[in-house]
Amino acid sequence: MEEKRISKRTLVASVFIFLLVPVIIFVGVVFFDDRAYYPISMVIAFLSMAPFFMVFEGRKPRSREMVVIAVMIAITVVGRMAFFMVPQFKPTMAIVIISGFSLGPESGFIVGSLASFISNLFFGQGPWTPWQMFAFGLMGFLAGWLKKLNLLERNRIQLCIFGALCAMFLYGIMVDIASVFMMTSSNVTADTVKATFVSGFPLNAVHALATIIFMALLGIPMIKKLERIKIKFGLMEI
Amino acid sequence: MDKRDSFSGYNPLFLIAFFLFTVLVTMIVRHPVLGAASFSGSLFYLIYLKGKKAFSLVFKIILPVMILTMIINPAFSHKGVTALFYVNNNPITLEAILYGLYSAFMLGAVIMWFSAYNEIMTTDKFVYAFGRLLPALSLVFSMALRFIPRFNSHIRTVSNARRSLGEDLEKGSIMKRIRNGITVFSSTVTWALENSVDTADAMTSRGYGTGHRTTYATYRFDKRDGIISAVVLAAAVCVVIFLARDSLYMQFYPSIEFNPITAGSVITAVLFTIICFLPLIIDFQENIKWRYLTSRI
Repeated sequence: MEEKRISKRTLVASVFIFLLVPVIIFVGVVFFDDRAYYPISMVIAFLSMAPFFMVFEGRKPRSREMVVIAVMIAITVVGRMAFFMVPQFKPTMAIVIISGFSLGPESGFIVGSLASFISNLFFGQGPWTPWQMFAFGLMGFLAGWLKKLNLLERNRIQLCIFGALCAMFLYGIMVDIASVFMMTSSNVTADTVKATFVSGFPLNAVHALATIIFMALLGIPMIKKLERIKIKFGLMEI
Repeated sequence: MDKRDSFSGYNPLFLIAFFLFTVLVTMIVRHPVLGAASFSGSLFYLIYLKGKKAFSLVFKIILPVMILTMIINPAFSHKGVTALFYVNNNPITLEAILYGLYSAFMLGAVIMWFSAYNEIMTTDKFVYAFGRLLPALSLVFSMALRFIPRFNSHIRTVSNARRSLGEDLEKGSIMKRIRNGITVFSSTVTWALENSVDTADAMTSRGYGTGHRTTYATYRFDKRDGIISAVVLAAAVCVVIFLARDSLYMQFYPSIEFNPITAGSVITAVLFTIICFLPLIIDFQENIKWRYLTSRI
């Protein structure tokens, strides 16, 4: 019975991804003459999050698990607030990666995406929100997934390198592409992409540096804390 | 005159649909009349909602983004037939400048719609709207929102306690301050995680997961919501039908061209303008009604 329910949700989620996304791209190309990159990419970013959310709902998470996730989200937001005066120098990425690492890929995605949604409630919501949500969620997911595959270990240097790569390349490139679409909504050329990457480079570098510093200082202690909570309160299955 | 926002009193589901529609039309359709309607509608509504604070948002965030957009487009896009002058053998075209100008206003309007949305869609409305579709997720969302002020105040308590021990967060070398900050943060994390399990146990013992979850605020979908939804839906369908026939479309490249003005395009423009100004229209109408009623007492 439970199994069936989950598979139904997963089915809905796969339909979302595999059917709706091409249909939206098709509608964009045919009906809008390929001149609506930004709204279409925004809708796709939103839809790509649907499967993750559906899986989370379908699992019927226990209250202890949900509260731990909510705490990690709140800690991420508080961490971003504490450093509000320094642009890009935030512990957000480090905490999202730590959450994904300790709580697993699915919870990592939830922490990343909801943390960026909630912190944008305080810092300003905008057309960039779905992209940020998706990018942060994906980083949390990736951290948990690599841990499961034993490619990422509880090792300070590994975690720092992973965090820096995420901030510099994955997150940086995704958000830069979003701003290309946002600023030059219809005529995306190689030049505009290049210019955005060049102008985004220093910001991404600061972000990567911040992630390394916070990961080095916070990484292992926070993972230990989460492991301890998991053992103490029997949350081992996450 | 009393300033109250009656528009936000409508059903959250209607409000979400309203903002979704205005933002998507603003982003997809390219026509100066519709862009101007969306920009002015969102600007005036934002000013009505936030008063003076709206201006600081406009000047500090929206205007810089708009100026950047205006500069970026002609600098990197050399499409268009009317070259005004050359920079490094690259033509700066009139079309690209106008297109940049248009995109800037479009982006400004979208950001303002988002901040108006942020202003009136309070979190309880959000939880109400998504509580059925995503119950676990919206519960996590509302719990996280509650935790944020709680953690902030705990951080203050801990750092005050450490100040009295001589480990002041605002004194010492940068490395020392960072280390102190991390200590405070770290103890807060431990406290938060330990406490959270109490919250979870309290939830379980009060029967979380055994039945249908209720929300703090309930919004009925009443007659008023039905009427406004039907009116806006009808107008929106008209707008979409006329837009699909492309009766309101401006071409920027290679040269600027408008479609001929038809009855359909006039209707679209009028309807969309009314939709964009709907929040203000409702608020003013309610204000007048309120004034009339109080003056009779």
